[in-house]
Amino acid sequence: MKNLWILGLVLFSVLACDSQQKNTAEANAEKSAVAEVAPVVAEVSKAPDFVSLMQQAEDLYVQTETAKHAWLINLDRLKDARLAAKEGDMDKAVANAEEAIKLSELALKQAESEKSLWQARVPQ
Amino acid sequence: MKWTNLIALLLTSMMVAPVQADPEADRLALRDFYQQKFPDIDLAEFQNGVYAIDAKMREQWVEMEDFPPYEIAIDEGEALYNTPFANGKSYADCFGDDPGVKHNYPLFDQARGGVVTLEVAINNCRKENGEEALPWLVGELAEISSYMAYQSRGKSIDIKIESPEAVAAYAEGQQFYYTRRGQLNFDCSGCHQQQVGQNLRAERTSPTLGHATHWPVYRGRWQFVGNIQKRFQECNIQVRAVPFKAQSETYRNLEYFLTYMSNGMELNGPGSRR
Ligand code: HEC
Repeated sequence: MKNLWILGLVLFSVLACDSQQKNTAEANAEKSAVAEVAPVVAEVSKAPDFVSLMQQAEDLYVQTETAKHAWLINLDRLKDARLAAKEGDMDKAVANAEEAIKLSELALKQAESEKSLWQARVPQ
Repeated sequence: MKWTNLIALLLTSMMVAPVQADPEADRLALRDFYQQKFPDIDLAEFQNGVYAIDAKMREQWVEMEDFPPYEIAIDEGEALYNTPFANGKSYADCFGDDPGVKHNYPLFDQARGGVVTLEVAINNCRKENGEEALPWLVGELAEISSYMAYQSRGKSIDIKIESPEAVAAYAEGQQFYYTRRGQLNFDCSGCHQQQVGQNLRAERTSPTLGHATHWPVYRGRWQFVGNIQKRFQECNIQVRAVPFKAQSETYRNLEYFLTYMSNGMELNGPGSRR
C-alpha cells in the first residue's frame, strides 16, 4: 500500500517534470527520476501475496506466545486481517497483517530484553 | 579451538551463569522494602491488602465485612466438602480430618514434578475418586476452597521449598513476577512495589506482601467468590498481555512464589474486595 503511494508520487513528479522540461539539466533530472521509478515498480510486483504474509504474521504471533509475551492487541490485528481478507478488502487485510508483524516483533524484543532486565527489580 | 576462544567462552559462561535463587533472602528483603516504605504500618496488617494502607477504603470494607458477602460460599463449600463421592469416599480421605490445610498450599510435589495448588489438589482428589474435575476459577471449586480457607483461618502460611526442583519452580515464578509484559510494558512489581499505594484509575494498588493470605475473594465487581488465579489473569489483561490458562505451569509457579513471599503470615480468607 505504502509502495503504491510512493510509486504514485514518483510518477506524478515525473509527469510534472515532463511537462516543463526545457533544458538538459532538467532532462538529466528526469532521467534520474525514471531511474528511481524502476526499483519501486519491481518492489510492487514482488509484493508478498497475502497468504504468505498472513502465515508470517501468525507464525510470529505463536513465537510471542511461546515466549510468554503475547499482546492482546495482536489478536485483534490478526482477527481484523482475516476478516478484511474474507470481505475482500485486501488493502485493509495487508495493513492489519503488517501491523501484527510489527507488534510481534516488539513483543519478542520485550521478551528478549526482559531476560536480563527483570533481575534488577527484585528488592535486595 | 584456540585457547583465547576457550577463555572467552569460559568468561561468558561465567557471566550468564544463573544466580541461584534464595527464597528466604528474597522474602526478608521484600519485608524490609515495605517496612521502609510504610514505617508506621505493622506488616501483619498487609493481610488486608490495600485496606492496610488506605483508611477511607478500609472504613467501607469493615462495614462490608459486617455481613460478609462470602458467607454463602463458605456454607455451600462446606456442604460440597461433606458430600461423599459416588464411590463412598470423600474429601476427608484426601485431606485428613481437618479441612484447614490451606497454609500448606501451594506445595511442590516431587512425584508429580510440579507445583500443586489447593485447587489442583481438590480436583486431583475428585479424579482419583472417579469424579469429574471442576472448573478452576469460580463456582463449586472456589466454594470448596472458600470453606477450606475459612477452616484454615488463623494458621500461618507454611510453604516449603526444599528440593532443587522446587527452587527452580519458585525461581520461574519470581522471574515471571518481575518481568515486564504486555503492550503497556509493566511487571507485577511495577504496580505492587514501585508504585504501591498509588492511584490507578479508581483503585489503589496493594503490597505484594500479604497477596496470598485471603483467597478466595468475593469481589464486588464479580459478585461471586473467585480464586487468586482469576486475579492473575485480570492483572495480565490490565497491561494488555494475553493472560495464561488457570492452573497452567506458569500461574502455578507464580502462585508458589507469591505465596512464599507471605510465608509466616496469618491466613484470613476468604476475603472481600471491591
Ligand atoms: C497496572 C498495574 C498492575 C499490574 C502491572 C499488576 N497489578 Fe495486580 N492489581 C492491580 C490493581 C489496581 C489491583 C486492585 C487493587 C489492589 O488490591 O491492589 C490489583 C490486585 C491484585 C491482587 C489482589 C490483591 C488483594 O488484596 O486481593 C493480586 C494478588 C495481584 N494484583 C497480583 C498481581 C500479579 C501477580 C501481577 C503480575 C502478573 C499484577 N498483579 C500486576 C494493578 C496491577
